[in-house]
Amino acid sequence: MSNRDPRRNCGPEKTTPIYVLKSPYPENNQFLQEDGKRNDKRSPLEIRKVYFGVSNISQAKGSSYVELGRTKVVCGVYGPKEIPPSNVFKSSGQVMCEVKVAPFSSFVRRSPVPDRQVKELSMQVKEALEAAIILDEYPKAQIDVFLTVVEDRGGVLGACVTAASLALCDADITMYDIVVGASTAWYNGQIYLDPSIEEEEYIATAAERQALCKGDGEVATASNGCLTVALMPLYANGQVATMVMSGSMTASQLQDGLDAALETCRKIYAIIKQVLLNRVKESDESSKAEQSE
Amino acid sequence: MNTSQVSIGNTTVVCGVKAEMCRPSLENPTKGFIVPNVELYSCCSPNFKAGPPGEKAISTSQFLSNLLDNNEVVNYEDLCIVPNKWVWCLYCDVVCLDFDGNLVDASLLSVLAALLHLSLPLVSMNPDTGSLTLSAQHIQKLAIKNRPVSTTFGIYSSEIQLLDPSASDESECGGEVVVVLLENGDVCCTNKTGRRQVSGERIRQFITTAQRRLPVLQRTLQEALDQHAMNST
Repeated sequence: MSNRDPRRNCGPEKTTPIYVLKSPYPENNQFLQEDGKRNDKRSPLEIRKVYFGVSNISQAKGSSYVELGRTKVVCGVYGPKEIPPSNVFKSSGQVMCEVKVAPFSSFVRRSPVPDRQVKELSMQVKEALEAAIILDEYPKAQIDVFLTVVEDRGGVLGACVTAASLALCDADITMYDIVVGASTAWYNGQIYLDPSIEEEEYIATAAERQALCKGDGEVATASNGCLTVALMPLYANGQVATMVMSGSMTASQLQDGLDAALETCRKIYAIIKQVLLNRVKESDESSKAEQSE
Repeated sequence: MNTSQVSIGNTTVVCGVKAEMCRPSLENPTKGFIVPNVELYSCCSPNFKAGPPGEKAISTSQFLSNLLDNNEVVNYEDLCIVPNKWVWCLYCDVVCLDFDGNLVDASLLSVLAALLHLSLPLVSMNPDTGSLTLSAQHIQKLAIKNRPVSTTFGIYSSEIQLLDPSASDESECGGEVVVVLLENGDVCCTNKTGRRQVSGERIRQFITTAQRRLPVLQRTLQEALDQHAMNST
């Protein structure tokens, strides 16, 4: 019942990843270490190191490279290009967004054929960008946004949205504001900013584990969940473009986590503005140097 | 898991090697598999449309597969865990981040670099139960027999050929000659594609030029491996 893709080298029919024999996570995996720090030595409200670069793809109109800890995303923007006249006329532009995840990006090798999760990711990024781009400026046109996730170690939706906005800025597409993505997690009612993939997976199975520990039919009541939010910090005093949340918690816990994530978005926004300003200065200087030659 | 990144000019590719275990084929019960695949997403260039892999990706994947199949690079018997029962299958996925021509050279270098610093854990099988245990402490580097390096020439006309063509060069050229050399300068493989013609004398000149370019690429590769070894200790 294997889907043999005739266009790719498929290799043998069935292969077993080594993680069946040995989990990539440490044994006796706890969410927090004894000193209260997380497994990657961060404090609960500390985000991973970030890196932003623009104009890294020579062939694209605009491009960007985002690193959130070890999560790496590359984005290329092409267009705006005219939609063929056979399609229904639309007075505002359209965004086509496609996310591709490299097969080696996660612990277990992913099939190169996009699965539902990747398609959902593409749709979520597209919707975030549609809120931000001034589409009325591009009638009958289509803007293509392509993302490649080179490594997925958590927070991939936030990284994709941020990378897409940066690349759109690099491509001189008019937008209301830059959309910045960030994620938060709750574990046992505590908020943790910018969860890594190990933490996200730990929380996803937390409810099950807690129910097993309690035993005798008692329902686990601790709050666990994950949230990703994409924010436009300066447009109309801050507008949320996308929000995806899973888990269960009280409304006030949700509000606290959301506020923490929005604060993270604002901090990242400040860094991004600086990156874009530096890029403009650089290209200004290089064009002046060319003119004087 | 192992990755390598190669940039030739603007062309940037990343290769990731994932090792998985599988049953060997009946014809070759002691040989493992190496499965190279080149992915050209629409992200890297406006020439590639969304959807299943196009001609360029398929032909580059097939080229890498042919090169690795002829037993010159890796001894497939080294990939055997338990004869007739379990072997390693190395998936080498090459993802192009920026396409500016000459995909073949960059892809081959990246697959080679990733395989060169690949270490496989020791897997042993209990002969009574057939169950496997993995020992992450005992890791063994994969033995690479040869380091083939390719050089690509774009054929614009019978008088003009371009070494290491960029994307704009490739769009003008009507053909391509790829020369693959081993470390000692021996020719491992040549490939001529496209509609333009080229004389035999010209191909001999290509081989000579490729032999001159060979030490530069090998040195760069070795420096990168040494740097990586230094950083990881």
